[in-house]
Amino acid sequence: MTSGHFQPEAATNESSSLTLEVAGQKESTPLRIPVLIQNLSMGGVTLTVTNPWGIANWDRYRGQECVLRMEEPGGQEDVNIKAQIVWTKFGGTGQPALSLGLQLVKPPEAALRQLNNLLTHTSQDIKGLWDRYDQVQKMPGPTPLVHHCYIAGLVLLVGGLVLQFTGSPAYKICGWVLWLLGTLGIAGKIIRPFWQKPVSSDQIGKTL
Amino acid sequence: MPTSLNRTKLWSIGGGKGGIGKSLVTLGLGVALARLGKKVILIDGDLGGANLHTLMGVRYPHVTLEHFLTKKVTRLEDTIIESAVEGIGLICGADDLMGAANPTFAQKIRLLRQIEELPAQYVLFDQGAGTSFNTLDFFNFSGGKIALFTSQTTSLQNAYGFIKSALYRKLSRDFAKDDEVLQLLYQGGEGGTGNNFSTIQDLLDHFKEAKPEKHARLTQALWDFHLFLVVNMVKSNADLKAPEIINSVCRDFLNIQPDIMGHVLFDAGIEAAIGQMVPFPLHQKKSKAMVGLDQIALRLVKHSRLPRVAWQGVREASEEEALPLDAIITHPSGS
Repeated sequence: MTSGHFQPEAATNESSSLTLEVAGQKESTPLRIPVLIQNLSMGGVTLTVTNPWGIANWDRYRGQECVLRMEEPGGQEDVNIKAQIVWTKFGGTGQPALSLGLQLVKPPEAALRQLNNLLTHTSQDIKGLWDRYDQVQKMPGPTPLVHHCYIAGLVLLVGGLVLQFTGSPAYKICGWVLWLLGTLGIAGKIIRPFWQKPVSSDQIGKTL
Repeated sequence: MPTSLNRTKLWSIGGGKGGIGKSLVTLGLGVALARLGKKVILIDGDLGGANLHTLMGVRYPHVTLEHFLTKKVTRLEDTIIESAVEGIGLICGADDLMGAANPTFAQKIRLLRQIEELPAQYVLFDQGAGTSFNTLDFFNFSGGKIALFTSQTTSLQNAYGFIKSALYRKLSRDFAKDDEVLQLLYQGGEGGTGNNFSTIQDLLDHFKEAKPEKHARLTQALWDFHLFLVVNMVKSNADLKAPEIINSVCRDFLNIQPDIMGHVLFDAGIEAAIGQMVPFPLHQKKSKAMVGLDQIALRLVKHSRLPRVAWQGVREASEEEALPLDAIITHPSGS
């Protein structure tokens, strides 16, 4: 039994604040409104506007482009994520006053991680599970180069063997070279995992 | 340091999610153990939707757990159906019977007592999907606990949920009379409670200085919850990371260190075997899935024999002592 604690790479920064900036349609100045993050999904984010009453008609912002701004304390550079408002919804009793659904436009991975860390109601262990899952997904698999070398190796091996057994003496030398190169290409793919360091579950938690 | 020489006879296969192959893995493990010359009994613990018998080619089981639970059959042993595989007996689950799907406290006690008396070296208990108290209680009662899952995100989530539920169920039983522990246990991980118990380690740290006796009991309870992980339907090397993810989350948030017992490769031939109602290990000469199951069976035998070193010298129950069923199984109404 170990007592290791999960240490996320990007520590939760509860003092970061989120602002939604929507370009005005008739207004000259863009609308800037403080928001809270409610949920995060692949490419989407749900926000809560706690005090939406200053704006009469939220529906008109549907489909509009906007910027979700994460203002970092301590003079760090703000993070801006381009998005589009997909839906707006007023909540009932006991629900947030207004919820907004945003589709993020090519969000940087680091920004998504920071948004993820702003989710306050998330159960820490479930967050830990998904963080580890994401980490494993990012681990390098077989690279395309290795795969291409393997395919080329197969082709060369077969071609070389055909030349060696059916060709004239001059082609036989060429065939020998081809199947030697092909064998090296195939061997490269077979041997590669042996010099790759296996990742253990200890590393999965600690390297996050 | 004292050790227990008890052989682990009862192994449960659970995992929370449906469709991850619990019944197939139970069947495959049973066949692998039988091939090792062991006498095995498989119990279909899915009391609402039993189908292990179908996978074994038994269409119309003449006797099931339902007969035992409703006392139409007195001895559990009399519900064993000899299967097509030598060395394997089968106890079929109850199908679509409300009473059997939700056994009473007395029924559970009677069942668990008689499982221990079954004439087999290994009893494999195929648990139903979900995290009902019955499933968790049967899982926790078993000496060998196997959490099965696939590399799918939904399965990972459900497997962790299942493990966490089983552990919390055990702790809530062990500390049933300790309101302080229970309160802290269930507040942990919930936002806005004012407490920072997001891990079991936080709870241990909380008690370490102030209440060392509770710390010791909690540590012992966590040590007792020994778990094995098996990943099923493996299609690529990336899928083998799934048990490492679960292991890592369990270690960091639940303070338990499950053993990764092995993996079972995806085998397209299994579907054909199910369609023909032939036990899949008998369907093909060399099933891809059986390679992994053979290895897991060897590890299961090894772990069954291994004496577990008792935690900090705490005495473990000897073979002659009665099983503490009443301490483990709870009355549904009290749940």
